Amino acid sequence: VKGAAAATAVALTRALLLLYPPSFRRDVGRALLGDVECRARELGGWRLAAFLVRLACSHLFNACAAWAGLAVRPAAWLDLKLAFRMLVKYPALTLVGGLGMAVAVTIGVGFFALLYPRFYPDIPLSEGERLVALQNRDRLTHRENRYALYDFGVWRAAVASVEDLTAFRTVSRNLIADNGSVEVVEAAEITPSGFRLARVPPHFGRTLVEHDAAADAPPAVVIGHDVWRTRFLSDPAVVGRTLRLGDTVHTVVGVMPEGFAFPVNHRFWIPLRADPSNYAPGEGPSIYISGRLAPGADSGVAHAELRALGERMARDLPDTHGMLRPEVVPYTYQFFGGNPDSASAFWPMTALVSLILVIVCVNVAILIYARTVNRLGEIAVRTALGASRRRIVTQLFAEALVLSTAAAGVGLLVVQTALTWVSGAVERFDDTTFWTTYALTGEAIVYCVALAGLAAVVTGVVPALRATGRRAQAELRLVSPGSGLRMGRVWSTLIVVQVSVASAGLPIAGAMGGLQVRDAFNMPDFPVDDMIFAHVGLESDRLPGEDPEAAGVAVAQRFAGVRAELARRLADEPGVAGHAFTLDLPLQGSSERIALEHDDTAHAGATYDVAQYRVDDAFFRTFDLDLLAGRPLVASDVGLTPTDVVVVDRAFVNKVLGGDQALGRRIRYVPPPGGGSGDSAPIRWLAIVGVVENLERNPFSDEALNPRVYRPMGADGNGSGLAVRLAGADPRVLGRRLSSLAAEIDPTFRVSIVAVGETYRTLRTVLGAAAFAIGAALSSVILLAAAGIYALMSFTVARRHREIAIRTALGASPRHLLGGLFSRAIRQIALGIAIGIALALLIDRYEGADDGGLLAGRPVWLLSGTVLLMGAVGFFATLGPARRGMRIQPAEALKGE
Amino acid sequence: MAAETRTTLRSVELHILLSVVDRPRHGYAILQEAEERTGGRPGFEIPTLYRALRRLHELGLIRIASPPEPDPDERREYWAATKAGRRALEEELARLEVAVAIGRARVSQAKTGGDQ
Repeated sequence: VKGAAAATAVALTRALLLLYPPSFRRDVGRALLGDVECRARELGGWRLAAFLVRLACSHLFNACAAWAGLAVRPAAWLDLKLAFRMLVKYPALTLVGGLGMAVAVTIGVGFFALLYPRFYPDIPLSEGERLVALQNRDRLTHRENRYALYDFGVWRAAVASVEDLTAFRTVSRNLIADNGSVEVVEAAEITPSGFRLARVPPHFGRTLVEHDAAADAPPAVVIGHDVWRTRFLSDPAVVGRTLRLGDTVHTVVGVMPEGFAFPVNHRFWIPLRADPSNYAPGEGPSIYISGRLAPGADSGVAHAELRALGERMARDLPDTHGMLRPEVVPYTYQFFGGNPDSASAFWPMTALVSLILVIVCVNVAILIYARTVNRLGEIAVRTALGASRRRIVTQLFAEALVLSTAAAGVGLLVVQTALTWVSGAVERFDDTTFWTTYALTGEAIVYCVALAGLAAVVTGVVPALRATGRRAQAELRLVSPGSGLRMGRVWSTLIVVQVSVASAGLPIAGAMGGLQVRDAFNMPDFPVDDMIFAHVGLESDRLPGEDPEAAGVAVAQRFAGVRAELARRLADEPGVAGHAFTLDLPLQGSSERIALEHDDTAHAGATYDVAQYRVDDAFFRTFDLDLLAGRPLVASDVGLTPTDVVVVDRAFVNKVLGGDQALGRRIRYVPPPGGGSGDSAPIRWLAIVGVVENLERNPFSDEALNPRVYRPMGADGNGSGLAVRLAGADPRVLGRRLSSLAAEIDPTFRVSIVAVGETYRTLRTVLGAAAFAIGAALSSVILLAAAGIYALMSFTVARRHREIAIRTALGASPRHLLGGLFSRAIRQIALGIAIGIALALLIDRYEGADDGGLLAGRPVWLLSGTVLLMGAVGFFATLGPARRGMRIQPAEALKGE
Repeated sequence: MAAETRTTLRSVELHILLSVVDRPRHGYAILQEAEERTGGRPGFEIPTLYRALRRLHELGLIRIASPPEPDPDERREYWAATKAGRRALEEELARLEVAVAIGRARVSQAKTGGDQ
């Protein structure tokens, strides 16, 4: 038994020894093991158990201590201990400086953590960094032109520097189960080369092969691991079973391994059967093209090769390719509109964001400088005892480093929490990609460490160098502590700038934050949770050579037919109280600019931003919107050629018409400057025929509500929104039923459910978070301003300590003395506030003037509030130093003279 | 450097120096002696003992010595005090003597005060 106990103790120690630095194991590891074995052999029963517990705890503690001893030299360890004590001794400075730095670090690291992976993605595939995208860019619009099936054929044959060229597009399909249940899924229609490009072997069966893409080949599908698990219950004999997507029955030929979602976030892969040779330039479906850089080639070589090919095509095909310029970009860039130069903007942006921290740190440096002045006695003593200037600067740097590290820790924690939330939100809306991970990457942590270092240098080293400079030390030897240094012109100017920035930022950020909070309370004024919202549409692919216009008319007619049939079936469906078709679902209305006919208000000639909704005649009934005046839209308004009428809401009447009579007025759309077809199209005036209640409500103010314009929808498209009002039915059950109903009418008729209620809730959280962020940034600016004023006052008192003492001894009234002393500081505060207010007014006038100004139309209220608040901040910040100054005892202060 | 900044020895360091000041001893023997001195409660475990041994060695207060007689356990390392170690021990004992003297005086004073 004792042998076994000894072996346990030795095994435990052997394992825990791995936690120690290697040098510790090398020096004493063997001897330590021997002693543990001896001791374990002597013990038995509960004593042995207790020994093992104590041994494990002791190992953990000593391993940590051994590492700590290794990492920091004894002197540095002492510096750190002292730094911690300073944090506790000056809690106000710790709180103010730490909070300011934490806010700045959070902004910096949050920016970096979100954007770095976008520009430098880590693609989790074999040699993922060699994956590239090939795309055409229009020289005029600077947008990508994805109608590139013809180009794909040319590039595949001619480009040597990129291999495994792959084209894909995402298609939505009804996945129809044997029992008739329907789920709308997104499948990658992809050339079989895509699987060679990804270099991931299948979990079962095979991937797509070239033969699958032939027009006469039986339809094949490769499925993702989770589809295999959930839909086929992990059936090992899944290969050969069938899957119905829309009106096509596919045979499952393979299952991809868990986590595979190439090319974006896909779980179904079907062959892209569009043969490039059948399509004319610029025709065919919109596709994404990617490939892998050939061995020895880099993106520069590929780019040059593609560019040369593009120039030739532009010469040969001037009509379609004259304005196109092909380019090679990193694989992921094609999904967010990136161009080859996108990444070059990242580092300057990072530098700009880092500048926020520098600005904050300069403020904190003022405070630390002021504190250092109060410690000049201590520094003088240490210098006299032989401490070098480097030693003292190192100690002050250590103090700043401890503060900045704590702030960086808080920043990292906040960013990590925010990323977790974003990750959850993205997954809820199924909007992720296979290469995106919302977590702090190593690079983000390195950046954070660099920020902490930068902050420590600015807040620690700069004041320390000044306080230990030759001039300061020389003066220190001549006069009493504190009198030699002065808050120079630079520091004083910085405080004025600080106060003015706070005074300018306060009203603007206050107004913006207030608006965010107010908008966060915009709630649907319709029973959002008793409704289902969906996008409905037909699969439609144009065949090679088909006339686009004729194809469009044909599919629109087909869609009108299936929509009418769905409407008929919905009317008979139990649990459905009503439904409406609308081109724009709630929260998805298009933003338009309109002008009024005979605008005789004070704003004659003005234009207004409104949200436009194109709806059918059942919309107001379904959403239960009360008619306030006139008439609603009727069946005759809606159709192939909608009538030129609109219905507006109460917010429109109040905000656009100023509460005037709406019926009979006419509006027209104003095309955006430099764009749109408005130049050649005749101006169509639309008559307001009715006024309805608002679609949303806000408990604080109707001002928060967007004016809405409802237009009759046309019947010329191949898709629309659908809103179904329920009467007691479970939304999830009816949602599935809706998909089945549509698929029964036509297997290619898709119903994609849209979570409008969830979007409202997410929007509210996002707006709330934005308001919180503005509030946090604002609080740190105010705190820093207060701290700056406090530092200035403390400094003044410390510097003129002797003078106050002498003048008090000569009979001057302390109040009178302080008034004189602080008058300069008070002038600085007043100057700062005045500049800040002027700045705020200026910004309000020139920025956002179209939207009622940045001050939200309440400049007097906001600016007087700012003056009061900054005045109060200044008052309270001066209170402490003033009291200290009044308590100076002449006898005490002049004892050393 | 660190020895200069430290004015007192930790309990485990004092026990080590007390054990190795007259003759070389291995770690386990040091632990056993410390247990004898403290009635079985030395206040540290084997890992702490070895970290302290290593620290004292780095500070030059102890050195690795050859065993006085052949030891069957070849894993054992023997330690002996250096001159600096003996001096540090003497200083520590002197400090403790002062502390003990002051403590005794105060306790007896307190007793006298309590009796009155």
